[in-house]
Amino acid sequence: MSRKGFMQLVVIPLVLLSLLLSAGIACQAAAKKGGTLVIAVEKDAVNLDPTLNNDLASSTVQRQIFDTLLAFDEENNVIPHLAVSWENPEPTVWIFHLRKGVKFHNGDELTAEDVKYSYDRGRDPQSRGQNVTKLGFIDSIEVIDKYTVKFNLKYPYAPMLEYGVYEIVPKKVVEQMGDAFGRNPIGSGPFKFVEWVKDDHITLVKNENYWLKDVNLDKVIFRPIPEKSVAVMELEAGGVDVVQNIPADLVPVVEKNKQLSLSSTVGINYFYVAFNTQYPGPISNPKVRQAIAYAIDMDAIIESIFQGVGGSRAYSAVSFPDFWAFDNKIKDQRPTYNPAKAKQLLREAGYPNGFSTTILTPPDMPRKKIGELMQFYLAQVGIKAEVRSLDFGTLLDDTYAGKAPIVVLGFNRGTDPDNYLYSLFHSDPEAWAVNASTMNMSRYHNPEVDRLLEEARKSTDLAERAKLYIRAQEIIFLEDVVHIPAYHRTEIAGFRNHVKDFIADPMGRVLLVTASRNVWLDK
Amino acid sequence: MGRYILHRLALIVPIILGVTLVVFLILAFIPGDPAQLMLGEAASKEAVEALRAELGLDQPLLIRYGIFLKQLLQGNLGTSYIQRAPVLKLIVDRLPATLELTFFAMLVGSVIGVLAGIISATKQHSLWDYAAMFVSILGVSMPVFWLGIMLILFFSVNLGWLPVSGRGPGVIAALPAAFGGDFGPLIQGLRHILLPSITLGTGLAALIARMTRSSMLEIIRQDYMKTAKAKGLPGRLIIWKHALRNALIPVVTALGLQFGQLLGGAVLTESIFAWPGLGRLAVDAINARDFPVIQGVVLVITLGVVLVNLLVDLIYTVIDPRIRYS
Repeated sequence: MSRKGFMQLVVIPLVLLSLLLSAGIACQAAAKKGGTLVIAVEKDAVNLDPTLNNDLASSTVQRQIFDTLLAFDEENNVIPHLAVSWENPEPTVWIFHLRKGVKFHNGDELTAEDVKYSYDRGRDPQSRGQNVTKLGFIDSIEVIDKYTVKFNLKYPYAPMLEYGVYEIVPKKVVEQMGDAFGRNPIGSGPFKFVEWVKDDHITLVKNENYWLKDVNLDKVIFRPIPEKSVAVMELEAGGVDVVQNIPADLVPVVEKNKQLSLSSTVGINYFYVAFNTQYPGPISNPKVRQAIAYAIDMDAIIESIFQGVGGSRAYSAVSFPDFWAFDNKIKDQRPTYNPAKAKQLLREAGYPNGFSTTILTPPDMPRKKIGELMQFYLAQVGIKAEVRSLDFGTLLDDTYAGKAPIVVLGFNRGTDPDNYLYSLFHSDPEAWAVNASTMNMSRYHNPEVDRLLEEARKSTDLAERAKLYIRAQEIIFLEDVVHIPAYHRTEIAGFRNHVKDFIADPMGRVLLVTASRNVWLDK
Repeated sequence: MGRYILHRLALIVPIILGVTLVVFLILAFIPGDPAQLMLGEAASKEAVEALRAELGLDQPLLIRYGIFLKQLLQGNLGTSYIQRAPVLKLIVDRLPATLELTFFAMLVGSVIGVLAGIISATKQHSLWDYAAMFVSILGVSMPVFWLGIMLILFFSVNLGWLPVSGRGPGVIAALPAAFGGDFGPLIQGLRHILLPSITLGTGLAALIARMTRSSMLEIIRQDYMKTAKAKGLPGRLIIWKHALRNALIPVVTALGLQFGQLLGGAVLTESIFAWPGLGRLAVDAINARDFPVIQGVVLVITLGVVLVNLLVDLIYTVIDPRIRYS
């Protein structure tokens, strides 16, 4: 080996490696231990039992107390966590191998029994939980041995791994405590539950024996502060260290303050205008829906509401940046503002003089405003729209009952396109017949789309799935115009400068201690 | 007197029956299904139906009301659909926070209001009078929300004197420590309650100031006041002992009537200051259609208003011994 070759092959990589290592060590050394992190959240948790409740407010806290079978990395890929590996020997069989020696906060070891119990409790209709329907694809779960658990599915289900990001509870403790477990949870995660004063605070302390890493923070306090403007003032005054989900109009306040920092990322969520495709009258006609899509300038509406800060235009339910199941042709071919074309389409559909209709919206600012601006644009082409902002319970009731011709809604659940496209657009005639709840509130039934979505959820070949999803999106958004996609909400977190290693998460989660992250305080 | 009180207490029964029935009917007819909201948007219809049956929501209205009354007689307010905890516990946990807030708001309202009213009346048409009446018009018309935000901005963010939000240790909970000589928690609790109680009490103070002023002005012109002056009594004694006592009767009535109003305002104040009270419990319960909690909160608030008004009627006898109940 020549001297030069030796240099290239051995010395340079060694130097680089040592540089990298020392940089890594320098970073590690900088992280300080200890301190209390106070996080302002919008709502108090409802119930801290993760198998029953997974609303955002509850799961924000649950995530710090419990470990999940699998986890998301920062690019939202599924990675090992409590399970170190898994196999998929048959399309409907998944086998997970658990990490040994993981302890719950009470000292008991976490085993396959706990995994089976957590899923079974979540999918048991008697539990009255929010996971029952979501876990409906599971047929049975078997404990193979102490560290091996086998899932038998009812049908091949591509998003299975994403449902591995699911909190594991201690069977023995939950069986003893019953409903009380939701107020005194015990998990295996980075923080232990200490105290919960309803609507005031939840206190967690460091789990000294956390298996993943040595947790930096000593204590975490979640404080529900319903008014965002007050939460930001609390951040300025130093009463809290982190405020999640800062609305666009308060961003300048945080930016101006030198003691505060912002972190933002395009959210994995979807806000949209849905048509009831079976509503008697003009809205059931795809031509009319196309006309509406041409009549309103959704680009301008989203720009005027968010001014580039709080949300970005959506072109499909899954038009997330660089997302594998989305193709830019759906964006490029979308109906863009063209009132002349809208009028022509209305004429062709037999409504040359327009018609009257109703737009329902939830009471929050962005969605209410979308309704109002749509009303303005629709008036230009002769469509008289009445906008009604309702509280969420009433809105859902009306929508499930098919009483809403046009409704502005929003949604987020995980990252798999199946969660979005199958739930929102696969037909659900049984539910419609009895006005029951369904995610397909558009009452959209297209056998071709049903077939594409069914095939896509069964295939495990990503390229094949992408093809199917992109075809389905063409039909849904370009041909049938079931929705007018509105926006993906930007997740914006504000925090005091002494909070280190913290970022806003696209799914709105609070990430404190993960495989790649360990939040600490520099004070 | 004792019979009078018993009589008034007995009247609570029909009032409670009436109020709960009205709330029951409203809840039955507003749209929004608790089972649906509990299970989330993606729940299947079987799951929702099963839950409705389990919660008894599929029963006829009258039977549900009957069950509610039966439980009530046993001292059981039911279980929260959403939080899966006894309603009584949820309410008892939050009651001190709301009582504390309304008590201090009444204190702020009555002390500031009565003082401003007396000054205005005794110095009628002076600069003091005009200033007090101008501020009281502002106070009556200022939205609670705006006032709260402005107070926080000024005292907490700009000056940094007081906490922005939250209840801290709570004044009531800090009392035992204070009796033991540790005043730390009590001071902390008082610092937390100052801005919320001013926010909630300002409207009341303004109203009381105007009432005290007009009531005082009327009494100052009475003949017995002239007699007192002619007797050579000092001005201060005349105002505080002879005039104020008589002027206070309509003011106390207003305080009692305003108590219900104050509890309503507390809902907003609690939300601004992240105060862990009944108001926020009620708002969350209404949004989630958590019927047992809504019923429970309404029941407790009704009881509160009835009892406070009874108390007001009893206070009359102290202020004006001529008033007797039999």
